[in-house]
Amino acid sequence: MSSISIPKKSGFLTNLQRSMGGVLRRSLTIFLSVFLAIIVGSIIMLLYGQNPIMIYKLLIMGAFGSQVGFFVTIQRATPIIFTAVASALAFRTGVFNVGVEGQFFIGAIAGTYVGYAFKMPTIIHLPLSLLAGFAGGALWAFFPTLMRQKLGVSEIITTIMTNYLATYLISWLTTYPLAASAVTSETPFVQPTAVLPQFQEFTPFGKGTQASVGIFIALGVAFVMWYIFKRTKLGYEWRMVGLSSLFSEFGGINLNKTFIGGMLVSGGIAGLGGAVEILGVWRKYKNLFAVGFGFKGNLAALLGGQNIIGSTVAASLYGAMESGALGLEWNAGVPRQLIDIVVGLIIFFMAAEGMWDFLRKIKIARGEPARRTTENLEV
Amino acid sequence: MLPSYILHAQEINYMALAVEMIGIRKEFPGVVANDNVNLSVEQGEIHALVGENGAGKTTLMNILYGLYRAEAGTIKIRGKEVHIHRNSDAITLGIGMVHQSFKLVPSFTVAENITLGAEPRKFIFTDRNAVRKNVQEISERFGLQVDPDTRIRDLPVGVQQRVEILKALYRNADILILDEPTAVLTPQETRDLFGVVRSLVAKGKTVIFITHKFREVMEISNRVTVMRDGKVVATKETRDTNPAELARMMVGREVLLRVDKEKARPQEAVLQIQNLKVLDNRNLQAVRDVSLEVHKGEILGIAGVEGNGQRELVEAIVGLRPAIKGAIQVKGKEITGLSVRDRRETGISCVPEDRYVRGVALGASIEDNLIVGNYFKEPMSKGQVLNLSKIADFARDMVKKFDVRTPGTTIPAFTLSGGNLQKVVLAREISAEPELLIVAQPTRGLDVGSIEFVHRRIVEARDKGAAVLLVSAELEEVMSLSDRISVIYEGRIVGTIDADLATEEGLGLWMAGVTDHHKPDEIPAAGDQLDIDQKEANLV
Amino acid sequence: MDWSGVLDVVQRYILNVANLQGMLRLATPVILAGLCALITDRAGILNIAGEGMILFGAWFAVAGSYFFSSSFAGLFAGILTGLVIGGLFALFSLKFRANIIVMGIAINTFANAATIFLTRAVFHVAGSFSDPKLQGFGPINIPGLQSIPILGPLLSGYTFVVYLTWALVILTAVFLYRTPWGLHLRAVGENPQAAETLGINVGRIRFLAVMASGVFAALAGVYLSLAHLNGFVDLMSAGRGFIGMAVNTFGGGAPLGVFLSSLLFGFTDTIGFRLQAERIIPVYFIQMLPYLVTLAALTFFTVRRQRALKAKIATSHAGD
Repeated sequence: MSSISIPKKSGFLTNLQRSMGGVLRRSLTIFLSVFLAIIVGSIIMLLYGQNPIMIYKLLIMGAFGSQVGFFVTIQRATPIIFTAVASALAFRTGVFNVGVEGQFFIGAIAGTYVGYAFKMPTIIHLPLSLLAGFAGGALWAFFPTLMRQKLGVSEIITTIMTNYLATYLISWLTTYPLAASAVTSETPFVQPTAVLPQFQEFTPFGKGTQASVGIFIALGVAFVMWYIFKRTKLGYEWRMVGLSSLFSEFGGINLNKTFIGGMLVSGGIAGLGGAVEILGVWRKYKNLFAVGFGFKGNLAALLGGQNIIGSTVAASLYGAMESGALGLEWNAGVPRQLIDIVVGLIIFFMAAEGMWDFLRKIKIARGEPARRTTENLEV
Repeated sequence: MLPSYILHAQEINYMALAVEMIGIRKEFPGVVANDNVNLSVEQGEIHALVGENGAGKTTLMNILYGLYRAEAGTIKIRGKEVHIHRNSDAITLGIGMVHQSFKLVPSFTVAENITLGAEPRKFIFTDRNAVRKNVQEISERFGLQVDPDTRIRDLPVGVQQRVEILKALYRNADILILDEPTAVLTPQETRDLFGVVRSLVAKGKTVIFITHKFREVMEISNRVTVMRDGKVVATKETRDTNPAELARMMVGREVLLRVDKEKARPQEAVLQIQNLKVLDNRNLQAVRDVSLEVHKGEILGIAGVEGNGQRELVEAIVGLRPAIKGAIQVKGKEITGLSVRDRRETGISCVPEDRYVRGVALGASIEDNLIVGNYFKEPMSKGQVLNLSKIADFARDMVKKFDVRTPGTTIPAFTLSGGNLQKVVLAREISAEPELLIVAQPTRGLDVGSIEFVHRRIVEARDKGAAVLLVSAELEEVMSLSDRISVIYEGRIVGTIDADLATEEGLGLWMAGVTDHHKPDEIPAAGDQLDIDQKEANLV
Repeated sequence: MDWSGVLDVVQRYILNVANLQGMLRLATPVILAGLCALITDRAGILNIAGEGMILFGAWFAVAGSYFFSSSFAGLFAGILTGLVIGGLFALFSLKFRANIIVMGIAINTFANAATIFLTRAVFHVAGSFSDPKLQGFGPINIPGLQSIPILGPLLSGYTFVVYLTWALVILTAVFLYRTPWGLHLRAVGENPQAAETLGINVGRIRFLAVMASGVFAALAGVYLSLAHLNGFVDLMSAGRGFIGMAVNTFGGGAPLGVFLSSLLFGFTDTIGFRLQAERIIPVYFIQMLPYLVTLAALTFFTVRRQRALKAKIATSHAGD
């Protein structure tokens, strides 16, 4: 037994207590984190010269208080659900795919291209355009995956690099080869056979909003991914590899296949999200139409505990907050980035396990090594 | 004013105790590691501290060395009550500790390692000449030869340990704690170490020697303290006790040193390895040239000091590490090109040495841990879909059959104790009904009850017709479980012998690489040349 | 074939004093980002928050310079920001045990949003901010040195931050290899338990290393906003935090190595500007260059390292 490591037995017992009280503990942590973040957010608003109670009220009213607000919530939540599920899938498989942003863009442009460049009946055209989105995203995830698996290069650096490449590649595409005209940086409109209907087009609801049936695709994808994780061999492999690649390798799971598969599907889902956003909301690709959906998905996945259901819920709430924030920006002139700040704060507080111990005045020094530096599983 | 003889007597009494620990209590969540422990160590003695794994010896010493803080109790050093809050306090008090796993920085030189944290300085810079000079000086003063400029990663284990001791001496340690120092040494290196320890005591140092080997206690210590379950059972003069008594005190009951088993009835060879070469993580040859055979219905034990290629050998057989040369056959089928899964499917099972890293996924449920070898087959799954109820049945069945103490099968593995965790691994690997069962360090860190259970299961698997390859650094374990024993040294099998004919001394010589009568290429491949080995054993 | 034409092109676009000057200048933020990655890497910490720290440093440098009308006030504000953000990052990830990668992702995203918000809230503009009141760093001409041909222009005429960076490269190297604290830092990175049992305070060293990385990153931000652009632009760090991590890899964790590998990126940027002015290639492809170079260099570097490893294995066989 290594001498500074905590005797294993005791670790297990604490963990047992932790896992039994786990759900309660986790809910409490989330609640307290949100609470703390709201307080810090309020301080920022006060500094900005706004009444925080007013702002929070406007925020919630903006998101849920009216039909328009609700549909804007749906519209904003749709892409974030895609990127959050994509991130959660990658994180759970043990890959830090912070390239969801770029994969989303590439999927969007691929979906746009297939959407406007071909003439086909809807039954083929729409699925094909969506598929192009999926393929685009997967393709964009492929290179970093390859570099990780074949060369051992950290995916964190490479996926970030591919985000920048995606941005500039698309700027070029929309300005030159795919431009609708010489003076704009946007593509032509997609064919009517490739669009996803918006609610305002076929129901009496959602007037003035671009919310589309894409939300059903998003929720469907989330459900399918949940099922795969829970009930299939593939999901089992993803889960095991994410929990311990060394154990999985020992157990005979093909690490390469599992990692690459997980990463490609993650990229694919992000790309599908991009295509859905174009075909449902914008119907053409405007250069840099929406920066940040990928990063918001990363955050939502972290917020949702890196599991599919949690991430979907977190993404929906993120969408709601964005919807509220858009209203705020119009009505009170508060920059909508305020929401991203509050979300960032929630994550800081949630991730900081030790802070809660600290606040509960549990004396860490007593039950553990005098100074805690390395965790050691050696026995 | 007291009469001078009283003063004198008091002073001796006062000075005589180097360390006094009184009423020490240390709790880890859920476990009392030290419960009202009293320990007194006299100046200039070698004090053995014995006990099973988990008895609390290392915890006690970590408290003395300032790595843990006790909840209750007092510590006196040379008669004076002290408060040790961090380990720099302990170092200032002249306490030094050599840990079981060395605390050395591989890319630093010997001198840098010895002086780390207490470097001579010149202005704000490290005075590199003084560093080298000081180290040479101290190594000469205590007769511990080292080259100050060699990098640690280029040194053999025995020399690294010497560097560890010098590290403590450099900090003027009077009280030296050695935590299971012989665990990584060959019998011969152990002898050298004992020489060093004796010469240190002759120079006035006090040594606390943690071990669980009785022979070492008897050989080197003046007094011995036995611990069990966090409590001190007794402190005795070494000459007033004997191994049997120590064992009884340590375990709390009579110990069965031999495993009950019938004579093996070996049949055809299941595993055949020829001229295997395998590299370690640093790309050095760890397995240099291994040939061996394991037969159906026998246990072949591989004895040897850790780090002589055992890990790499096992990893090469199960497919985690490529063989750069040689052949591995299972039931006559060449498997070197196969994936881990395909090898498992040909009938290999393995209980890996690092249970927590390879053996289980700590964050996954017990169910998920149990099915990694069969989740892809019927009845656990059909097509792509897992059959969750079949999996739950299987897991419940396994937990029952292998006596895993757990409230349920869906709770994460990290909630289990080491022994129960090992039972999960055994359940998974043995239930696959392997042709070849590899068990590596199967009882490390387990309590006595679990050890017996694990041993029984291994013998059972043999009797059911598996070929068993046992790798263990515990010589006693190898000797009591195996039908045949091979000794590995620096990546080569230096000898193979029938277990009934093996002696600890003979195996010990082989473990140290002493093979006067053998050239490596003359070593018999397997059981077919047993007679030579028997002569060998008789010679030593 | 007329080689003088080729030579002319090479000289005009690639090898000339102006380009070399540009290379040295534009390498600065990458060097600083590389040092940010280096100091934490050597302490055994995976710090991916450099990107966010650069942004914060850049923003507060602008604020400091704007409100106090002094470039050095900006520099000071930047350094202070680095200390604070580094301190917070260390507090959460080391003391409060937050997963350091999660924390890094959160800081980076947070920094994007927070600086955009701050620009709008404080300066009431969106996208970018610049103002005549803003004091940037001007070039420093070193008398005497200037008149030496070639070497003069190569070593003289840079801003204060560039010289500070060069000094920091040397100081970091001296610190790492010649002082006890540097030795402790490397020991902590390589075998924290060894350091701990010798009474070295591992937690404190790591905390300080993260704070130092915050200062290095913030200085990269200061360079971008007060020496390079003289203003703040949303997301102006443009991935340099991550390029810094790559540069640390290429440089083998050594300050001089970081300096030399950063020159590649300084050179790429310089050529980029040159090509942009010439309007030969669409601007978007030029903007891709640093990221492409990073990926290409990472690939090249690792492939070469693997080859070297294989060669080593081959020789170890030969000796057998």
